[in-house]
Amino acid sequence: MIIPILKIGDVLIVTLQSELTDREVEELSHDILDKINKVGAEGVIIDITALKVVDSFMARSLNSIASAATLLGSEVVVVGIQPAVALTLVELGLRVSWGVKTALNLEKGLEILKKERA
Amino acid sequence: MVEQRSITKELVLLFEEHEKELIDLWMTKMKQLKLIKGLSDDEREQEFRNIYRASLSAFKTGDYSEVENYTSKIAKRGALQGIPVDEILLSFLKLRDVRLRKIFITYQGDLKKLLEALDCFEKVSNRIFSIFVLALIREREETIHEQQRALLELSTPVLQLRDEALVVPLIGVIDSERASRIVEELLQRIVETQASVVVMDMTGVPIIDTAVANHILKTVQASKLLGAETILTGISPANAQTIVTLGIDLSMIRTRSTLREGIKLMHTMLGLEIRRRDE
Repeated sequence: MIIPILKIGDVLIVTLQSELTDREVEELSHDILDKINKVGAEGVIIDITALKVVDSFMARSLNSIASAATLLGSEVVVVGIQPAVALTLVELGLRVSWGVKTALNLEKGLEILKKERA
Repeated sequence: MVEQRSITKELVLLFEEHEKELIDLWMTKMKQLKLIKGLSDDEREQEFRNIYRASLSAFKTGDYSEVENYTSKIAKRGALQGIPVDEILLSFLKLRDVRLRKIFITYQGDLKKLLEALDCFEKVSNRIFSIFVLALIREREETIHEQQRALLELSTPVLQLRDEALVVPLIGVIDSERASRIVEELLQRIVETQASVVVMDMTGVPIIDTAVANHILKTVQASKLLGAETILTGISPANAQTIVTLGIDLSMIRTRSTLREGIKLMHTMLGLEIRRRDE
């Protein structure tokens, strides 16, 4: 499955439409970091509104994408986490490792990025 | 064993034959005692006949399921029509008395037979009585449970204070069932109202222990994942001391002493400022 990475101005937007396999997650991480490097994006928004399930691997991957992106000078915001997903992530005990910025929806995610750059 | 069965049969026959007589006697006694006044005479007679037959069938077959069904029905109705429990129990005991007397009268010349009959009757009668009491208790417990549930819902309001701001006044003891309710409700409301700041007020929470602190941490983290910041207010000095003594780390949560201070901080975070109009 090819996941499109859209570019609007200095921001990359990735919308996940369905649950990914571990392999697809790895490919996606690679693609996003590649694209950041290529276009010099200052922010990345990953929209997971459509995901009903986020497993620990996915959570960890999002985290490492964010860390790596920071090294490339880009900020990652994960948006659209469903209440049930948020509860699961908290139950999984991700309180320490979860350093990714989060927002309710795409719009708010863009606002956060704007504020960060200001 | 054979004797047991034959005496059972005799008793069943006795009660079947004298059904009308015994029920009438029972009714009169009840009237004298002024029990179960809530029902009309017809209803009462119908009711009594049902009880009479249900208990008799338990006698006959040794199968108590009919009695169980019937008693749970009675317990429900008693609760609905406000018939006090003691009246229900007394009237049932009265039926036992009426039947006992009949047994005494029937076997008055034969002590051996009388004792046998009593052995048999007491066993069944006690069993039915305990089923009755259990049904009433179960009904009570259900009512209590329902009330607890209602209380639970009442006690976890999530209020919208401004666009994008929610207030959660927590009142009373927080156990895990309530905590999970609060989290679910809060997350739902955050999505609905698009809130970005939540003020959680703990003024009404008497005790904060590790479990409560853990629940609060989880709530804060889950809200954060949705994109809402949480401000914790109203932790009493005693509770603050407990938290520190227990070694619970709440340092990652913004805290303010009072709800007022919390709301001030909320305004700052939302980029709002409150001013008098004439200034």
